Amino acid sequence: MAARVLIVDDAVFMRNTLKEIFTGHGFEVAGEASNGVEAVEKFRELKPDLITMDIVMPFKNGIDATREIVGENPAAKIVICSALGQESLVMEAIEAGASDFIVKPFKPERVLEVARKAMLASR
Amino acid sequence: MDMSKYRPFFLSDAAEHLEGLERELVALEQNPGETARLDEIFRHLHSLKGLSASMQYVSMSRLAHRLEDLIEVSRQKKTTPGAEHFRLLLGGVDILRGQLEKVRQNESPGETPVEFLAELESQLQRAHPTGGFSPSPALEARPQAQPAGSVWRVILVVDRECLAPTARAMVALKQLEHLGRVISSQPSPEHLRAGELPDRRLVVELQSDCTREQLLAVQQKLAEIESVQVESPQATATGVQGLQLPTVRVETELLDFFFDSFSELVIMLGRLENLGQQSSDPCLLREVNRLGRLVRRLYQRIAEVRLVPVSLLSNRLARACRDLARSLGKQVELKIEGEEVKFDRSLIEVLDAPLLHLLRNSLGHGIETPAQRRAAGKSEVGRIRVVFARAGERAQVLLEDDGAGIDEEKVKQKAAQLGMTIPARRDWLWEIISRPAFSTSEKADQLSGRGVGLDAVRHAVEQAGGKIRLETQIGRGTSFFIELPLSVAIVPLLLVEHGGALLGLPASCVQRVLALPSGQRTAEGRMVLGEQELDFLALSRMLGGESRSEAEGVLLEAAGRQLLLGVEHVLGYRQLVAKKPGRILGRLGPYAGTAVLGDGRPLLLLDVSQLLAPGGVG
Repeated sequence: MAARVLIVDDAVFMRNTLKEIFTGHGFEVAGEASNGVEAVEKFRELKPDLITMDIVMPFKNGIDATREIVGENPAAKIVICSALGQESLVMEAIEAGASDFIVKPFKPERVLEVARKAMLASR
Repeated sequence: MDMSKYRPFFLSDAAEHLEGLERELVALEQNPGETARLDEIFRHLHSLKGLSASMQYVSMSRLAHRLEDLIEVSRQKKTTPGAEHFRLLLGGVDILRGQLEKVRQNESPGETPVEFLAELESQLQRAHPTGGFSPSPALEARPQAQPAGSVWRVILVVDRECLAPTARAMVALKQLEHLGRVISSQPSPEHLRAGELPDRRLVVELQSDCTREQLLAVQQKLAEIESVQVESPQATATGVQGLQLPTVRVETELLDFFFDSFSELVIMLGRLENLGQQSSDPCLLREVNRLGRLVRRLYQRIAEVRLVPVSLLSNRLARACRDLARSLGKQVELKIEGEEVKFDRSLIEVLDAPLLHLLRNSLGHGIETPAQRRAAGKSEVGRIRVVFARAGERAQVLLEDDGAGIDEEKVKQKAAQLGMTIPARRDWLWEIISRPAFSTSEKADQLSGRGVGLDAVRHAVEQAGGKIRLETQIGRGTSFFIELPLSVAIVPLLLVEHGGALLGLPASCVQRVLALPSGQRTAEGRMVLGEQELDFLALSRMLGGESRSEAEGVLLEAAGRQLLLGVEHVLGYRQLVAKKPGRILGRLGPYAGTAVLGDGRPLLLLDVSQLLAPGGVG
């Protein structure tokens, strides 16, 4: 059974890229969200196995959304999607409870590796 | 096996753990609620024990072991140690430091005083009337003291292609936390956050009941990890580990050599740049410019290597504050801010004695006794705040207390008794109290006998091109603000030419450059300038040789004294790499060192404080 992913990113292009990468490789896209507020709502509704989370988004950023989601469910697995040069933000997100991260531009095999390992990792 | 080559590693590692241990102990004593510090204290002692054992310094290892047992008593109960335990723990730190010092001097560390050990044992007995702890310093031999599991060293190397290596290391560290108790990590989470991960290596000491295979399997859960190595503590104890440290330790002499050679490189570069500008060859100019950029980039990195955290200073302050407050029967809360700030190594040395002295001053004269404070409507606990900061190219330190303040009227009276005139300027108070005559007379009736006087504080700071500002309000407190150039090696100089020779004066002492009118000299080598009459020294008189016409004057000021130096020709300001004087030069005259100009001409740096010393040169 494929693992269910929630993709959170304010850019449609990024969401589509990730959808393409995940689909058919052991993952199934359960839903999408375009900001942090929506992410928290969709998380409650869909209970995904994995979340990919952009950092800089309108209304609520990815770090705050991560903190909120992990606060509600400490077992939640969140992979942060960051751009180059956002290392300190990534660090903050990890301390907020994110499991792992990937750096744009995405290499499909790297994204899948991180996603699979994040599923394995202890929470 | 020859252990001597590991000695430098041992010395620096052990010193670091001792520093950390002392810092944590003092902090915990001040903030008894912060029991998380117990783990840190335990970790430092644990490492000290292991390090000394691996070097076969049995007395040190045994002492660290017993102290570790003592802290374990509190750690298990999650309570802060009592006063008696603190006394023993800090006493132990002092003994370990003494032993370490002996090792540094190529001696054996020597035995721990028997009385101390006996006292330690009796405290341990009291805490554990039955059984007690194992006397052997072996790592595994203390089952009842900690949860099951051995201590492993896990070394992770982050993939070369990883775009955010420190974040990756943080993920790995968090994953390891799920597998056991992290005793230490190098770099620490704080350093990771600051972006530090030398050689992409993370080394974690982990106490865990996992098997080696289980620990190795962590790689399957982590992305972008090139390799995972798991070592048992035995490997650490043989000392083999010394060569696999994630950072390379460099002896300070070697570092100084780099820095000195580098200074020469900068000088050569200056010469090449001059040549490049004189020639009209565009290729040469381009290459020289390129070299210049490279050298400057390298300079920044080398300067960074010399940076050390100011916690080296603040640890000592915290300890001194604790000990002194205790002996004076005063209650003080020392708050240190900006401990993560880094200063050049030379600055740390420059600031060490002055800060300790200012702290003693604050404790001795500033902060009142609890009874006096109560009477003045203040909290019984005095406050001393020390702030370290960097502002551009300057290092800043603020030390302030909420004590009695300095009574300006009394200072004026005393100055009058000593026959000193109060200068008409805003900073007259600092001027007066930092004069040698004032400082020394004050010394007799106070505790700073073991330290330096305020004049020495001033001298040390001004030598390094810095300045001190003082603010005080009676009944409210006193603050000292020290500002220094960040790097002591590159100094701004005023260049003067005299009789064909080049001389440099520290720009920080130069008040003004002026044209000298002829024939205004008074009898005793003084000069009248407008309303002022100044001490005057002709450079030709100081240098000897034939007399020159001193057409220009440089008004110098240091340590509260002014001097007008007559020179033939002032060339202008320049930033140059200063070198300390050799032994011979130091004896030849009032020289503070040498420097070399871009065109290769050498120059001598004049020691202004010597020129200005009462009854000094000339």
